[in-house]
Order: sequence, then structure tokens, then C-alpha cells
Amino acid sequence: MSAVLVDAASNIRRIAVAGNPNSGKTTLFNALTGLRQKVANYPGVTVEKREGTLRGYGDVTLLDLPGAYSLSVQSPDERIPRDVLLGRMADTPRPDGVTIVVDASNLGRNLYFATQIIELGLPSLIALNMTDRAASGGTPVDAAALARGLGVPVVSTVGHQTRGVDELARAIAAMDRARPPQRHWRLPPAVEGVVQRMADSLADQGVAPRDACDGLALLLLTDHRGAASQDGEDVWPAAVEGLRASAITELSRLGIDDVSELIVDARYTVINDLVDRVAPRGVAAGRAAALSDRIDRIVTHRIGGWIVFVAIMVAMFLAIFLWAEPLMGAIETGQGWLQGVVRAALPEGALRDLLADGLIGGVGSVVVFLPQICLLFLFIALLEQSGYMARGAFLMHKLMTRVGLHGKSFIPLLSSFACAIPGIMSTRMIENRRDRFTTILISPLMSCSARLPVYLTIIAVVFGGNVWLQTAVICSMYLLGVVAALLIARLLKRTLLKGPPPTFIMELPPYQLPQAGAVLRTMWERSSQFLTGAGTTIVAICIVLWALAYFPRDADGARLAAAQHSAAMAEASMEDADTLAVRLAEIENERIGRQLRQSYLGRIGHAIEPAVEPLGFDWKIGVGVLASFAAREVFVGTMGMLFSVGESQDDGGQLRSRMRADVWSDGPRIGRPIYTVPTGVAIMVFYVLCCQCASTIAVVRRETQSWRWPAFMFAYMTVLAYAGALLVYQAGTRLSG
Amino acid sequence: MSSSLKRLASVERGESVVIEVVGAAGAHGLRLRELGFARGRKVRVLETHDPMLCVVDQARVGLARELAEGILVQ
Ligand SMILES: Nc1nc2c(ncn2[C@@H]2O[C@H](COP(=O)(O)OP(=O)(O)OP(=O)(O)O)[C@@H](O)[C@H]2O)c(=O)[nH]1
Repeated sequence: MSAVLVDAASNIRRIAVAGNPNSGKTTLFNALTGLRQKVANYPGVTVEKREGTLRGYGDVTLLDLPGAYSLSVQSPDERIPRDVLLGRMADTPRPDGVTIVVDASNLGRNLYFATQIIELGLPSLIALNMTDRAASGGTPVDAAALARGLGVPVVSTVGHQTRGVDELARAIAAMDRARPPQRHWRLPPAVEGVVQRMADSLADQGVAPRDACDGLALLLLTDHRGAASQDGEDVWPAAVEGLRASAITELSRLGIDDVSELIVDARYTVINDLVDRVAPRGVAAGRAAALSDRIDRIVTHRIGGWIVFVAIMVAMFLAIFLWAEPLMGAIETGQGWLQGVVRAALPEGALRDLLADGLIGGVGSVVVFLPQICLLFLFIALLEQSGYMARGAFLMHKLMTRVGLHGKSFIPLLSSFACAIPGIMSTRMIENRRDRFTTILISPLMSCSARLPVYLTIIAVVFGGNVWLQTAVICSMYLLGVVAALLIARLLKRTLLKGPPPTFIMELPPYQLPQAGAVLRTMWERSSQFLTGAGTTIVAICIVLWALAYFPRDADGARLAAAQHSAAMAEASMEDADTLAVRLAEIENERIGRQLRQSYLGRIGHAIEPAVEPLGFDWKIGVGVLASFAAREVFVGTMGMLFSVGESQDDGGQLRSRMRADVWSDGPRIGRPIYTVPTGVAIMVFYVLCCQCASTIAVVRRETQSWRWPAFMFAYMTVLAYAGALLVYQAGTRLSG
Repeated sequence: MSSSLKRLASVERGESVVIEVVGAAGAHGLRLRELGFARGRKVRVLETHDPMLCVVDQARVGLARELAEGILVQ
């Protein structure tokens, strides 16, 4: 045994985990590996690659493959399971075996995928999951009979209760490397001969390991599109296309035009027989299925469905805004406290200001959204895991096709109300590239949670305290984003990303009571992704902004302020402490204002003023807008800094009253208030339509694998925002006289 | 074999039928077949508007009417 210990590294066995979507694969993978998982991306496509050590067996690594219905390839991510199992994936060596998660309550369709995988010749093992649902549905599965029928071991499990997980782990650790499984069914003899010859040639040419070539030949004959090269990249050696073409010619000489259909039908015929043997339909109709039917009768109904849909959406957004508020208040208080501590602990100077204002202020401006984002992800996880999300896509499909999109686009767009980043990442499930890119390009038009503070501040400044008016204005801003997105989608699908509206085929998973652990875990994973991804950029921006406003230092101003300070102190009489305090505060504000005007930021602001003046913006708003191009979250903070609202950031009331009191200091409107209704609405419209988020641009670059699309998105949104704000302001001022 | 073939799109709500021919060509046809709309399999229709909602085997699948036009059943 000592020989084994010497070369421990090469003795690690890598086992892939594959399965249909919703088969419980993620649940089982988590149960098998615990929390020790490594998450990365597959190169080229941005699909998550999860790896973890099998609990209790340090020498076995599990690799989670993306869920799929078959090994056919219709979108770029769908080639991952196939290419990993064939050992054709860069950076991912061919696994030593594969565990196939099969949903026992939907055996036929799951076995379609399972048999395709088994035929690729890797040692295989079936995890027969959802056995509880199958049993309660009246069709329990005979695992031993299934194992005999497929020629591979079968372990029964109930994933969410971790039943059978220990047995499964043991079976994975004991997988037999020496005996690759074989196809257990045959095509008509003439066809079989053609397939065998093709398999032999594939093996001779070294396209794939010999054991895999039987399955690969079938796959290439089934899946015309997956066989061809995709998106310009060569997936297969040139010889493969030749072999496939000659096999097809040979078959058509035998009178077979559609070999794909022939193979799929033959496979399903064998599977149907097997299912009849191992899971004979019981007399008791499934109670769970009947319940799902009853729910679906309302939820997918053409009228009832919409009522449920609107009710869910309204409840969700109300809950997000109402429940998050106290938490957000607490975070702001905590941040103020921390800034106080830092100010007290450090000597006066640039370092103290950088830490307190730049860093803590910057981090705080992101963390403050965490409650809303967590809640939104919580609801999205609930909608996904209960099975409702797919119903939403089903209902929305008809509406979405009007603008050329698929119902599935509804899911990323909904997520984008929290943050466009997770929204854009979830477009991966849209198969068609054009539909996917269109969805990506319009996602940032959904009003994300970072826009909300901008709306709230501006509304409070220009519309006063009427709650109904405020709510109406906020709702119209959300609506404006949605309408703009739909119009742009329609335009894109008719021009740059021209294509027919997609066709709907989508599985709607059975309804299921969500598991608290799984929901919280998903919520946390996504929220922390947002926090680290967006957070680092925003912190960097805050520091840069702070430095631009802080330097160069205004020595004259400081000297002048110091002189005024002493003069005021000398003049003041003892009774007049209040007047003195007011006078001193005035002097300090003047100093900060002067410092800001002559800082780099102030100079930039004055330089761009002519460009933003037609929108009703003064140089301060201009600076706020400019700073927001990195991340719109910084708008309120920047305004706070520009209005030099003293020490802590949470005195929003003071900022608002100062903004309300601000007047034009030059130009034709001199002496008149800056924050009128037209200016306020123009600011909000600008924020609705503009792509002010460096992280979004970075994600779009990653997801589209090019700079062209993010550049285009940035350009069109900026133009739209400027035009929109210009229109609103100019029309607004004309109308109000 | 007494009843004649009809299109899946014209099946009534709540009716169960057996698939005979899957007509959609190319990628759609393959996807439909792989999702279980293959010859000889039972389908029950839950909703008849567009998209339709069908139960194939034990799976619920939303399906554009346009595709259901190309599926012959009896
Ligand atoms: N009744 C039952 N539910 C299960 C079982 N295993 C998992 N689930 C639930 O099924 C749902 C789907 O499970 P996931 O693990 O997310 O499924 P998945 O295959 O990873 O699905 P995708 O993430 O869509 O690929 C979850 O709500 C699980 O709690 C099981 O054995 N029985």
C-alpha cells in the first residue's frame, strides 16, 4: 500500500455529477460534499464549475455538471456536460466516473439523459432521487430491477432529507473503474452496422477514447447542430463532419432520412419498456401531482394566472421596501458610529478623512443596500424553488413575444430590479444567442435598488411631503424603465439582433414547499457575490472621488477661514454663544465650499456645466451625475459632500433642505431655485435610463465575451438618458411657463 | 385504431391523447422528442391557450401552439 501513498495526488479520483434540471442534483451535491466546495467558471463560457471533496472520502473529488435534458447541444453552455464527459473540455481532465442523478418521479425523461451518458463508456452510477415523490405518486421504482436493466449500480435517495446519501457516498467511493458500461439496446441491424463503423473510425482517428465512441457516434447522428462547429469555434476535428456525412449518406441509401428521429424513438421505446418493468403504474393517482394540477389550473389560467402574478409581484416589492427600511436605518446608524470612532481615534489629516469619508462612507453606501438585495434574492429563491418562476415565464411568454423575446427573459428582468448583475448572469438559461443578448442589453433599464436612494432624495427635495404623490412618482420611474426596455428590445430584435420571436418549450417543475436551508443558502451565495463583485469597484470609486474632491488643498481658503474664526471669537460677547456657533458653522461651510470649488472635482464640474445646463443641471448635479457613471450609488453621497453637509452621512434631512434652498449663482436663471420640478424629474429620468455602473459593464463584457456589446449598451443608454432628460426638462419648463 | 389523427393544438382541455407523429423539423423537433414528445407517449392537455400546458409522462411542459400544430396525436 505504500506505493499508493507515494503518489497520492494522482490517486485522487474525479467523479462527475450529472442530471436533469430539477432532479435534485444540487441538493445531493451539497449533501455529498458539505460546504467544502470550490466554485470557478468553465473557460470560455460563464457557467459555474463547482467542485468538492466527497465527505468521508478524501481521495474522491466530485465535479458538478450543469443540469441538462440530453447531451444535445443547442446553446453554448449545453456543450459542457458532453465535452467534460468526453474529456474535450480545456482545463478539465476527463473524469474517472460519473454519478447520474435520476428523478424517480419522472423516470422516462430522466433515463433518456442517463442512457446517453452511460453510453459514453465512463464507469457510471445512478442516484435514484425523489423516491419519496415517486412513491407518493403511486409509482415506486424497483431500484434492483433498474440496476439490472441498465447494467449499472443504482442507489435510492431522498435528497432534501439526506436519506440514502451515506450509501450513495459509499457506492461512489467503490465505483469500479475496470468495467466500462455498455449500451444495452440495439438499433435495426443495418443501421447498427453503420453506427459501429462510424464508432470504429472515430476511435481510430482518436476523436475520443474507444469506450466512448459508440455513444459519441449515436450522439453525432442524433444532434445535427451540436455536431457542427458553433459560434465560429471549431468544436470537432474536421474529420468528424466527414464521417458523419458519409454515415448519413449510407443510411439514406437504406431508406432512412431522419436518423435523428429513428435513434430518439428507438431509445424511448427501450426506456418505455424498462419503465413499465421497474415502475409499473399503481392504481392510486399521485396526490402531489393532483395538487400541482389543481394549483396550475388557477396559476396558469389566462385570467386567474394574471391576478396571482400581479398579487405576487406587488406583495414582493412592498415587502422588500417595507422590511428593508429598519435594517437600512440600523446600518446607517452603525456606519455613523464607526466614522465617529475613527475620527476620535486618529489625528486630524488626510488619512483620517480618507478612512472616515472615503472608505467607511464608500463601503457603507454599498452595504446599505444589502437588506434590500438579500430580500429580493430571498424572494427570487422562494419563487424558483417553489416552482413558480417557470409559471411566471409561461404566463409572460405571450407578452414577451410581442417585443420578440422569450418568456424566460422575464426571470433575468425581474432579478434586475434588485441588481442587473445577477440578472445578466441568469440570462444563461436563454438558449438563443440573440434573445440572450437582447435581454442582457435591456436588463440595466430595470430600476435597480441602487437607483432608489436617488429617486427618494430628489422626490423629497422637489415634491415635498405628500406620500401619495411621492409613491406615484416612484412608480412612474419604475414603469418608465420597463417601457423603455420593452421598446428597445423590440427595436433590437428588428435590427441588430434580428431574428424570429423564439418558440416556447419549457418544463414547469412540480410545486414544492421550499426548504429553508436551501433558500437561505442560495440567497447568501448570490448576495455575497454581489457584495464582493460590486463592493470592490464601489470602494475604489469612492476613494478616487474623495481624492478628487480633497486635492489640491486650498491653503488660502484655510488661512482665510482661520482668520475669520479668530475674528468672530474676538467679537463675540459671552451672552451670544448661539450666534457664535451659527457664525462658526457658516465659516466652516464656506471653507469647505471653497475647497470643493477649486478641487479637481470642482474644476471638472465647471468644465462640464455647459453640457448639462440644457437638462436643468448645475455644476454640482453635473459632478454627481459624472461620479455616478462608475456606480450610481455614489450620487447621494457626492451631493452630501458637495453641499458639505457636516460630519455624518445620515442627516439626509439637512441635505434635502440645503438642496431645496440652492439657487443658480450665474447665468440667465441667476437667483432662481435650481431644484424645480422639471429639473428634479429630469435628474430621475436620466438615472432611469443611464447605464451608470462599471460592474454591469464588466459583467456584460464577461457574458458576451466582447467589448462591442458593453460599449454599445453604454452608448445607447447614455444617449437615451440625455435625450430623455433634455426632453423632460425643456418641455417641463415651457409648460410651467 | 378507430379514431383518426388530429393535431395536438386542437385537443380539448383535460383530454389525454397518444403521440403519433412529431412534425417539427430541426432543433425544435429534437428538443420536443428529447423532452418526451416521442411516438407512442401519452400526453394530457391542461391549458389550451398559447403557450399550451401539457403533461407528458409525469412532466409538465409549456409548449407554443405553433409546435403543437405539428404534433399529430390520437
Ligand atoms: N420531494 C423531494 N424533493 C427533493 C428531493 N431532492 C431535492 N428535492 C427538492 O427539489 C428541488 C430542486 O432541487 P435542486 O437540488 O435545486 O435541483 P437541481 O437538479 O440542482 O436543479 P437545477 O438547479 O435547476 O439544475 C428543491 O426544492 C429540493 O429541495 C427529493 O429526493 N425529494
